[in-house]
Amino acid sequence: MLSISTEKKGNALVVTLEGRLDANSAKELEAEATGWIESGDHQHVLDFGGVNFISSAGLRAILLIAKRLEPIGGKVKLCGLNATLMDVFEISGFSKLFVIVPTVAEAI
Amino acid sequence: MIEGSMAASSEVTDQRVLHLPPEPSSLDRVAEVIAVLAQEGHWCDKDRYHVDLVLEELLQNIISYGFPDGHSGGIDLTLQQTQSNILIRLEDDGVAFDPFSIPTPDVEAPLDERAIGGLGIYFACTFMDAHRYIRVNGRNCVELQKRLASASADGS
Repeated sequence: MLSISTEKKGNALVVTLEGRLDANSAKELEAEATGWIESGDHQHVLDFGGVNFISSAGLRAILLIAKRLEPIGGKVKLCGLNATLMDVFEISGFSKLFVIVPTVAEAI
Repeated sequence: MIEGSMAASSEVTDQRVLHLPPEPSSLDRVAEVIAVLAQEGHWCDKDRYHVDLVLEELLQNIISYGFPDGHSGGIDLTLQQTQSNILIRLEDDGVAFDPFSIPTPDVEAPLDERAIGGLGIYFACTFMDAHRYIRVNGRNCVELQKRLASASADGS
């Protein structure tokens, strides 16, 4: 189960995620992100403070969002990752692909 | 491990056996069972996450690719806890496939060249202490061993 909520902060769309970002919920995130991009939000800040699980399907969803934003000058930034999640980002090399900062305030 | 595969019954302190359909709902069911085992067995957060992650990755592969149209059957999962290890056996009737035969992904590739295939299996190889694939009675069988961090701390 993943809950997804958004809040506009200046130019950025802050996306608060809570729960599990697994193969099932990654599809929901991808679908939501399509809507944000179509509505003109191109600067995404994903707040992982409430996420306790991410799998390769979740990483894939973030990668797809980033790949769609890049050609239109958009960007995905990540924040709030706990130590266990950070391990997964480092082992997969994803920590080098994304801007990862501790808090939402630092991502905006 | 993994010579003798699963543990002798005298060593097993907790066990779960699940028969699962090759459907997305099985991912949630397995995650729930792992949460209970982890709590009862006092696994640390990292051990719990790694077992949870690797099973999600392997199950997702089986569900996505193991059962193309017309291919029937199920998945059997056995989770055993011993004093110092989690032992896992995952058997399925899906199309014959050794997940550990696929190439290691390039984790240094830049964003525009980045592919996601193989990452889940890479996690399985990285986060488990032992893994093997065998073909048994026409079924795929993956066996995994995870040494519990609490066991290392005890020096056992």
